[in-house]
Amino acid sequence: MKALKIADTEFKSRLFLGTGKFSSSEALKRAIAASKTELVTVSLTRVDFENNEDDILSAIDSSKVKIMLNTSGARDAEEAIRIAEFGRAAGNNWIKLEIHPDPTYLLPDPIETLKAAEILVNKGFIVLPYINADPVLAKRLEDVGVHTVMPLGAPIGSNQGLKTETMLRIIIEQSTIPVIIDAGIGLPSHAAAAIELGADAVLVNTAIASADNPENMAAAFAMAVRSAELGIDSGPASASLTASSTSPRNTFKDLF
Amino acid sequence: MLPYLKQTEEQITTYIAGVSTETVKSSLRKERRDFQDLLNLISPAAEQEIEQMRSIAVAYRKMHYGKAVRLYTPLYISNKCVNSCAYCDFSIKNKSPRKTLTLDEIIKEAKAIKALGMDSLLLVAGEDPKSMSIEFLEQVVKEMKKYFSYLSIEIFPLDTEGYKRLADAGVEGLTLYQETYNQELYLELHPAGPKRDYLSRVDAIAHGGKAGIRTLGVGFLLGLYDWRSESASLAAHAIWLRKHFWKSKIQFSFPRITPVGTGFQAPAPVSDEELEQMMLAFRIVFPEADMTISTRESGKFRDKTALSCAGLLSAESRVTPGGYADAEDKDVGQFMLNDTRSAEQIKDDLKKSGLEIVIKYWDKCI
Repeated sequence: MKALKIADTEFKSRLFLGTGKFSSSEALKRAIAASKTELVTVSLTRVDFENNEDDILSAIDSSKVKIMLNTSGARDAEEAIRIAEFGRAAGNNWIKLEIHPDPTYLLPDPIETLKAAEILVNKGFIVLPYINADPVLAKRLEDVGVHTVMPLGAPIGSNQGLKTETMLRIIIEQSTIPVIIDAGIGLPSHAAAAIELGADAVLVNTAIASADNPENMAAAFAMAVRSAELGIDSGPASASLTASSTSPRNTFKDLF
Repeated sequence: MLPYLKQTEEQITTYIAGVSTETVKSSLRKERRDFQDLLNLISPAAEQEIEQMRSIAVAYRKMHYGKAVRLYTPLYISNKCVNSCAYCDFSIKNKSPRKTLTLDEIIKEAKAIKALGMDSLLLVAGEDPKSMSIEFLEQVVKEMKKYFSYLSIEIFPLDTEGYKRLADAGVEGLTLYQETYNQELYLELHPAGPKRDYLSRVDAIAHGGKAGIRTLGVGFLLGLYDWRSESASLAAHAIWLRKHFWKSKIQFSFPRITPVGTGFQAPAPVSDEELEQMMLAFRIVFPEADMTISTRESGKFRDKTALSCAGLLSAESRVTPGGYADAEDKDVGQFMLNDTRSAEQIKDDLKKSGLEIVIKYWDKCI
């Protein structure tokens, strides 16, 4: 697969992690290590940049893992921009833009997201917007200069897998920037399927944080993503509707 | 019963009484549930399925809130009140001395609460237009926002403009209990004062929704009237609010009457088992809603329901104005507390059950 590069940063791991819902900072720390991730997102509503002993921040070794602030909690562009500015003041220029005014399904607002994305890009942020699986919106965001698009597979935290597959295929086909499939990934097999579909990376949170053993689940996701990547790099044989024998008879035709 | 419902109270209570175990099981098998399912899950037949309800609720709670449990602390800014609610010690008929804190006293309280390690605040006040103007409340909210990440209010009803002013000043959450959805009983329990107007109270929470307040907290006072009928009204009210104010989150609370100084006896007491069934039913039918359980309940009951239902707990509550800065304060409190553990003790106990304590869940900059 093509190396994953966002802005000027290259990532070896195609698994990104969200940091919510863990039972303790120790559990988060172990999950991060087991996932081998190089990028985690944190919510400003949960972390306290003024506190050196903040539970979440202290669980992340920022020399090994990049910390990206997300705008979770923002209901409109204005609030998202305020959060991003606050994050930048704390030394964080990457922003995962998520604006979900609907508290039931937490679906992203396309209009406010596009509006905020354009302003943030112009202000020099590295912008990674969370969006519904809408191919036209993905292109519109690309036009304003965002650095990836992050379409959902299913509503956040629902663990339903790639319910939006048809639209994801179109987004992946048309995109010239990395596509990271964000919400809805519930099992390692979903993550593998996302990579096989052509996504550049996946972002997982609930499926790992809410597992009985988050550390092992993080390792399982790392293996699934790596496995799909290796599969793609190995040049998969094409699929066909008819059977094809694994020991073709024509190899031996001279014997008969 | 909540007005505006298509079914009468009699139809609803007759339906609930006749629900079969099979119907309960069928509600539990569904992926997405509605009002009718709520009726099924609060029915006497559902008592047999409580184990199954517990495991579904635990799964939903985990899916939506993970292992996190949020803590907040109430700050009583005034116990002056012009209403005469029979079940409340702040009633105007209760002649004990009252006070409204000054802004300086409120700041002193805020500092004492911050020192307990808390970051979310619920501002509580009785209804007294003379000492509690919207300008004063606005000033208090702005000042408190300097100390706390998350602010909510539990005060007398305001109009949309009033709520909008407080939302702009930094209020994210609003709690307004209907007390009882039964209109005749409501009039009996509220013999005088502005609160006597049943319909204006039902409608007030919608003013909060119109004003853009993020969390709309609803509930009834458990023990006043048949909890099954009240639950049906509460669910209908919540569904209506969710539909009309799609940007606001619904929060359910289950305040159960505890002894008060006036000697008021709950006419329809609710048992621990019934309260748990009600909470499980709401968690299953409204998986994304916030749910609180207050210090009116015992520590044991709170810790248990925090695993299956509630993601939001008050800690180290003191229900008198000035109760934090002056621990010896003997002024009139609103009700009796059953969980008097310190915030630290609550945190330790919840951690032992495998939950993660979340103190900061919003930010001053939003």
